[in-house]
Amino acid sequence: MLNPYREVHALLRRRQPRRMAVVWPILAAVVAMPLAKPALLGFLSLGAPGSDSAAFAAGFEAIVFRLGAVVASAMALHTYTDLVRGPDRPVLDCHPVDAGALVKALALRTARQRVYLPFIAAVLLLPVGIEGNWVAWIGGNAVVFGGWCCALAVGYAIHLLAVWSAFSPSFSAVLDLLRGPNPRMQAALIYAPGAVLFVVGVALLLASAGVSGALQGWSVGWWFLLIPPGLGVISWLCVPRLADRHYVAATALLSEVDGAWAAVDETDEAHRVYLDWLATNRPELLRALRNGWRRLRMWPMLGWLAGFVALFAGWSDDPAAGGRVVVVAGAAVLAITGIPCQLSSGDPPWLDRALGIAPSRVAVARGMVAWLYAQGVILPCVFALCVRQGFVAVYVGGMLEVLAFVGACVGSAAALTQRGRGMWMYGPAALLLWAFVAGRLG
Amino acid sequence: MNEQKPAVMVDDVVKKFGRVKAVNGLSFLVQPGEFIGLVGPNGAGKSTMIKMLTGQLLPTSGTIQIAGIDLTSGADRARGLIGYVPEEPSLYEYLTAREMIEFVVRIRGKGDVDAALEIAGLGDDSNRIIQEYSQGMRRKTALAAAMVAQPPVLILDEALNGLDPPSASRVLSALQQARTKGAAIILSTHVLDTLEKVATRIIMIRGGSLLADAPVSDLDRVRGLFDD
Repeated sequence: MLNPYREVHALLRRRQPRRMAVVWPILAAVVAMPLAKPALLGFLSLGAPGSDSAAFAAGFEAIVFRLGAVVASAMALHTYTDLVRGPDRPVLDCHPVDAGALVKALALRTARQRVYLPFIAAVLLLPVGIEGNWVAWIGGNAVVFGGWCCALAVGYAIHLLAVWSAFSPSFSAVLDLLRGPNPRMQAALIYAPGAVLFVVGVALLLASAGVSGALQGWSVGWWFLLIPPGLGVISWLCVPRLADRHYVAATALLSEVDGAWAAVDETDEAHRVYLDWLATNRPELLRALRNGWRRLRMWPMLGWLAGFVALFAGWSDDPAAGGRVVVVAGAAVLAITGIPCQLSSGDPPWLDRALGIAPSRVAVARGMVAWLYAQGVILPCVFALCVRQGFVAVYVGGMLEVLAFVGACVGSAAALTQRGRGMWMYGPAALLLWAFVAGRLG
Repeated sequence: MNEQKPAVMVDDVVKKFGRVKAVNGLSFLVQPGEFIGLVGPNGAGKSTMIKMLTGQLLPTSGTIQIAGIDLTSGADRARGLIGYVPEEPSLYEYLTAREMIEFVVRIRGKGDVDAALEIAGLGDDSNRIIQEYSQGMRRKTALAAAMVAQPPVLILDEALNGLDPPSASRVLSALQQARTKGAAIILSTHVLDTLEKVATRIIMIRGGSLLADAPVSDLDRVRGLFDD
């Protein structure tokens, strides 16, 4: 018998109006590629492959690893969304579920919807091939595509293991240590995408080092390409069994987390929302801040993490440090300023009409939340540059603030016009913005 | 289902969220063929109790069994025995009601699609996609999906809200039929008049504790407690 979940997903796919959506990010990458080339592929100017193969290989290894890590991060978040908080769960919660078959169908749908990610990387790496090194281009794409496959499988496995760890008494001490102000069980879910990125990141590190070595004549390095897909296959073999044991339990976990927050709301709610003191007399801003903090907390937290990474990128006397900061922090800023699209997808369409709040006020509030969250990325790296390089910090900080402002405006506009589907408009626009800024300043 | 075992057994169940006790030592049994009205004011703990009965929330302490299966350890197995309509039903928006019910029949392994659609009373609308449905039509689709495989336990959370009187009457009659065939039914509601016609027993909770467990003939007494 065919998988009923796959059949339903196929039927839904045919009826949902999203057919062109996968093409837009790839087209955006085609436009972004020449803009981003100076920042991403600066090593090409160090010399033709062959004449300075060590410099070429080192630069190529770094960019392949970074692109692979970005793709893996996106897949880690997507597997979390599809498996844990996806649209199937509330529908299927009322019925018995063949979790193994369901997770196969979910993985296939995630793969189909996110297949553009390695293609974007392939387009961004295209100048490597165009300038004569097609072997390197193919090797680099093999690393990124392997990382994509690996993140898909490892993502499902680790998120299912996260459900188990949330209920396991042996993890309660660790989760208490990590949870901060969150309910204990939520800690397992918050850190799961990071665990996926760590595991896949190690595989990508080895694979990109293998390609780099192979380009310098160490032929064994090609075998390293098998590490990410191999890890993916091993993880995937465990997934049906993990799904049978833990997919259904995730519903209880989510109810537990939501119930714990509801209990908190009854007592000292006002003190537990990040930046809510800024929302005096602005109910729509307070709502956006509360929704953002409670539903999308992972994003501001990832922003702080990115700010920490950018701080190290900027903590240097190297004149190129400012450029590095713009590339790294700019990407993180633009990832965060897409938050208005996610905020709008959770708001009932009738609510603002019923409350009599103008859509433009809501859009401005969502944009402000995005801009505020982006400060978690910008301020640490500007501080580092200020200490180490003085005036450059003003220039870089100003550029990042402009980028955050423009990103927040674009994100809000996409959310206002496209609601839950706004990310499909915002994503390509953000890629182009980042490529433009990184190409000019990176 | 084994006739010796109650359809639903709730034994000293407590549910805490942090310091808040949503359900406080609740115990009751539901036998096959019983129609229970679970009533209580807003915030009484009805929805928390319903979520625990369907395995969507685990009790902090105590035991819940569905036909002898412990929900804490066998939620996935117990789901096959439960037909459940949540307060806000979720459905695949781009399926028609007929396709939705056909899908449920496939994953449950049995059921009569046409008979279920007749209960829903959607007529030709069953071939329109659910996204175009009103709240009432969605609820009727969810009811049909819950009843299509004739599960031995039906748990309905405010499931009659938003139904027009003819639809509510048709659904209640279908529920009565299911009950006479041996299904145990738990209907959470705050409309006591509905229960007078169909329920065999009323369980009233307030503040997470059992306030009354009485035959439907004592409805007036329960109504008095409700008004208090």
